[in-house]
Amino acid sequence: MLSRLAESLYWIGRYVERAENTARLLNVNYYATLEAGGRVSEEWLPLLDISGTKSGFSEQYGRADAHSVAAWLAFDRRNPSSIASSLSRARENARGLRDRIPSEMWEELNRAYLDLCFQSADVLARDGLFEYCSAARDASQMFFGIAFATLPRDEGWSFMRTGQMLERGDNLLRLLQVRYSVRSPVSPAQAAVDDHRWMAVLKTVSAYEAFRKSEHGGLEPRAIARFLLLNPYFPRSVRYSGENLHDALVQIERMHPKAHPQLLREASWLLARLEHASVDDILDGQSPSLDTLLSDFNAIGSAIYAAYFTV
Amino acid sequence: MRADIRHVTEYSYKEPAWDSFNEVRLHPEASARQQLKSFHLLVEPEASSVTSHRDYFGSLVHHVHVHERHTVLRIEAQALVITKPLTPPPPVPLSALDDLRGEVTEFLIASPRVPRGEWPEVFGVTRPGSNDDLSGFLSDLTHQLFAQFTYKPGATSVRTTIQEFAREQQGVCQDFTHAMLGICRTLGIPARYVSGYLYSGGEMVGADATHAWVEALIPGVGWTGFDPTNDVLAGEKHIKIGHGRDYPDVSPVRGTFYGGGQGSLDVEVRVYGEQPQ
Amino acid sequence: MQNYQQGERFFDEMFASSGTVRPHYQGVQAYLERLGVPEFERRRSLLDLAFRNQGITFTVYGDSAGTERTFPFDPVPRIIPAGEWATLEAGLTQRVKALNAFLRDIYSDAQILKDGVIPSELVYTSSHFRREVHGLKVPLGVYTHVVGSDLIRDEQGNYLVLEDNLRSPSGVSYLLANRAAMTRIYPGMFDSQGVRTVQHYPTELLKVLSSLSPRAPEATVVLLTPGMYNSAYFEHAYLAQQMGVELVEGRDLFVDNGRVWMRTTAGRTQVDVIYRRVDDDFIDPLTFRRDSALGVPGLVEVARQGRVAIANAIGAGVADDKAVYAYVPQMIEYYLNETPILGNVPTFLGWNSDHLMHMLENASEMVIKAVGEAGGYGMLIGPASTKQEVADFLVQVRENPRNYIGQPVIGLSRHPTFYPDAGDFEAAHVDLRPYILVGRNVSIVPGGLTRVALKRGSLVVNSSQGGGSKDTWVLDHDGPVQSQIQSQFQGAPLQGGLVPPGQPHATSGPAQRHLQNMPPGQGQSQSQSQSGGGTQSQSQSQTNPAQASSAQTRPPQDQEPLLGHAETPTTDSDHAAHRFVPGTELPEQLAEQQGHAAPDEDGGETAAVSTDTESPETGPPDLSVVPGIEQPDPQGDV
Repeated sequence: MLSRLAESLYWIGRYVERAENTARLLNVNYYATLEAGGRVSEEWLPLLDISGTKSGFSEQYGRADAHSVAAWLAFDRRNPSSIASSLSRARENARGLRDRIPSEMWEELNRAYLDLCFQSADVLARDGLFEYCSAARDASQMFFGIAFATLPRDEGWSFMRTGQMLERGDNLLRLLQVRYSVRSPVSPAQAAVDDHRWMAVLKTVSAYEAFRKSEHGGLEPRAIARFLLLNPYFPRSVRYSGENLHDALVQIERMHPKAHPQLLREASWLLARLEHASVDDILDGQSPSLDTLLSDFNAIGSAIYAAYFTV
Repeated sequence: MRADIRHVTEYSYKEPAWDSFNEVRLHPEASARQQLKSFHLLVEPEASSVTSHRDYFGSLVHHVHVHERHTVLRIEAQALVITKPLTPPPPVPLSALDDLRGEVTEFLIASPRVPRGEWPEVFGVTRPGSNDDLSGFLSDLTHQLFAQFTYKPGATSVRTTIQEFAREQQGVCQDFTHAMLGICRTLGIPARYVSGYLYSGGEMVGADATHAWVEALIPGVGWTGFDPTNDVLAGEKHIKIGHGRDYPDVSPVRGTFYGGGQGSLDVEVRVYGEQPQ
Repeated sequence: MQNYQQGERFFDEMFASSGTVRPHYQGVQAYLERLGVPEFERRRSLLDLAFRNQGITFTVYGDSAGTERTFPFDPVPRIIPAGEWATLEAGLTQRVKALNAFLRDIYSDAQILKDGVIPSELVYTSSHFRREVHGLKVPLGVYTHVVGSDLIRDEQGNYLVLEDNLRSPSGVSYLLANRAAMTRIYPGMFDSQGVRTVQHYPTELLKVLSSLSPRAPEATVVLLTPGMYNSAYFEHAYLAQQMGVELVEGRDLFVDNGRVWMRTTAGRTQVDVIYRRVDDDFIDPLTFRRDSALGVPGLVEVARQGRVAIANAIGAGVADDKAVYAYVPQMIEYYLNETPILGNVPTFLGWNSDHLMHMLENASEMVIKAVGEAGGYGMLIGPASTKQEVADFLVQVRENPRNYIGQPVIGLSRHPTFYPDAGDFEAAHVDLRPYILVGRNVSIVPGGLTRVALKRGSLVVNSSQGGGSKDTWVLDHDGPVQSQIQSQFQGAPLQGGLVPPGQPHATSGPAQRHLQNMPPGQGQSQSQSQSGGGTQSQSQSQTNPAQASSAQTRPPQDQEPLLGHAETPTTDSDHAAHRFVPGTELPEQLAEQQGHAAPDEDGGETAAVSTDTESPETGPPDLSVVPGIEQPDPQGDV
């Protein structure tokens, strides 16, 4: 298929997933911090780190607090990774594909765009953030659901899947990178705060219940990290993302056999490490570390570009 | 006269450019008065492909495609030409133009850079009568433009209009030529824009550039060259590349490219001349 | 159609001047009677839904909500009997052959100009005459592979060619969509009518395009579109999909090694034939407009070398210059030695001083048009304009007379059309655009797009001014259908529905018609208003002045609007945000690079870089332009 179209679908996958993950992150943490004891900025700065938009933020806003960070991550079009920006870019890409994707896919995205991309921080004033983020998350799930149900399983589908899974793995790794810190609680109050934070991490990826069911201990950070990184059954885990990323690339490779062996090798290698690494190695900064995994995901992204989108 | 021409066009880019497509009109024409002994086109970096075709006006055009990334593109034309002197045209009444037909239409109608207008009046040129001598008129016109306008590089640009030239009273050969074309065509004298080189004295000439002048059709004589920038007939010191309706038809090098950032252009023309033994 | 007023002045497609229904419409009339108006109306509202589901809508651009509109459609089909169509087919075939011969000629020896048949000035001053392709050998010697010649019928019912569209005629997708909708919503209407199919158009088109391939039988065909901001984009996408060819934009293609390639996930694929819906001006920035981002640099040279075929060929537009149009009958005589079967609308050329005088003196009763414009710009409709408007327009005409033509106002034929607000059928003006495919042979899809001026009394049929379309039928016979169908109705009393006005008795027509049961004539005078002969007074008293407005029809999206047209933004920075966005890799890691503005270096032509703001590092490459060279003079004396 035309490179441009493959690239568009890839980016649709990435942007819609990004919008969803940002919405989850914002939602959970906004409400979590209402009950947190720490300093306001302490709660909010990490969100900026996770989304990788800190420098952009500090240019536009002063201090990091609930209001400014929420506005920046949700509505601000100057933030290229805000929910609004992501949805709008996804929609623009879809617009160019309208004649090739099922109309319901376009309509869903267009609807989300119209509903969510023209809001402003007024939403916060009327306590509407929860609603907004839920709507964004729902729109994304609806979109991928429709795609799953109606998009033919050809190259286009695989490229969208690639983008989605790559973004998913990337987003969760960033979350862990920032959140993971092992601190022995110095006080029960601190322990409560920690617990609270870890619960938030799990809830961000809707993993709280699943985690509790599979791990019967407490909210032990290492166990949580292991679950989120390596659990093969949880659909938002890094390993799961890596697996599906690999599968999608295999599907694409079938259409162009032996054209880009290096790319597939890289994806297989990433998958192998996710299958066999121990969480201790990862968290203790051994090989592979969180940083390594993150850069591996993105290296695959660049390789996809070089292989299929540039001729 | 024997003329040895070296014409170098060099583009430099701040960042790498690639996929450069160029149309090159540097191949001197072969005619009764001009013999082309040799022609070479050198491109650096090496071109991915070079093709050629004869354009609408009969000029040989080279198409140069440079695919690879480069920060400098150098196109050099080398030509060896032998020109013959020109006999000044005899007197011919303007009324003789009435008998012309067909193929000269292109050089009588408006063209993009020479639109319709009352150009004789704009330039203060008295309209000749139908019994007046065409050759004489053209020589006088050549002289009048030369005397009235100042040659000044940098005063105008590639896009300067004839109106602006008339107002500013200064320009380069392109402007002089367009002006003369406008005047001629309004008077029903077929005239075309000629691109070429001028040998301007001595054996070695520095930093020349391409030159432009007018060829007008004198019934019974043929296309005759007049150079209003220098107030001369285009004789053996004028080496012709080709002609067209106006400048865009004969543009020596034009092209498109990707990337490149900010680019700059350097042109160097050397015309070495000597009388044949 | 009990209350249908066919009127006296205009030719009615369905009813003869006596009020009798024409034989080839009898079947439809019977069907509509049988169906009844309420049911007809109910189904009509389903059409909108059908179009939407098929995606036959056009977006109102500039509207961030991206609202969709369906192209208005009237379900009463326009019908052409076989014999009539055969004549049209012959006339159009003849015309298209002559036009191609003309193009071959003027891009080589121009013998027709040397013989003085057409003034050479007219051709050389046409902005569509492309000297750049002079001498270029086109595959099969054909320049125009898809032609849309607009036909109208005058008050006497004669078909006249209004104009030829040889560059990018559009509308065929509506034709196909209309037919598909009609067969779905009113299948009974087609029953036993002998309607010829139109669905083979995409197949035929693909055949023609493939036959042009330099590597035949291998043929990789693509459809080149300016992109989704073009108002005819839907049609581009639709045709590409129907033919099964790739829909590409300029940036998907590139030239290398003397060939054209497509960028795909499988690497580069060679392209043999480009069906381009991009105007000449924008198709190759090396050869034509340097600021175009819609084309492919170096494309024309590949075509010159015979390694890619372009349909319609570059330079074909000179033959659809309205001033050149006036000479098509002469072309037919000159190249084919035949008498033209189809006539032109009488045309006055501004370039000719006698004609110009006539135009200036009679402007208020004529239609005056600028020659190169498509889509309705630069047009004066005399009878519908005020004295001041006429005077203002004529100023332009005097300044540049070669650019204008004048034509008498023609009263277009009319057709019964359903008006929901009245709940009944009324007469509306129509025209016809057949689609002619030219390859080794000429093939014309039966019928074409019938456009109808839906605004009451209007003569303007283009979509932006209240136009709509109808399904067009060409029958495989001339007369009424088998009487078996009709026998059911003999003796049945008529309940509303179609009744020709004022007909005292049944009918004319060879087979027994079932119209006996209509109510007695309403005593309307049916005197022939359309007397042949005798000049038609141009200044008839008008009860409805709007009726005489634009006789000349405008096609819905004629000749893809040029860039700079309101609907097709290009480097307009407002719209840059809507262009394809490659997206950011990692939020912090990507430095978004704005397109560079070109600084003006002293005097020299600057590198005009596109001010496209959507070029981040990983984005599509910038297309820059090599500065031209000035002609400074040598120092020193001569």
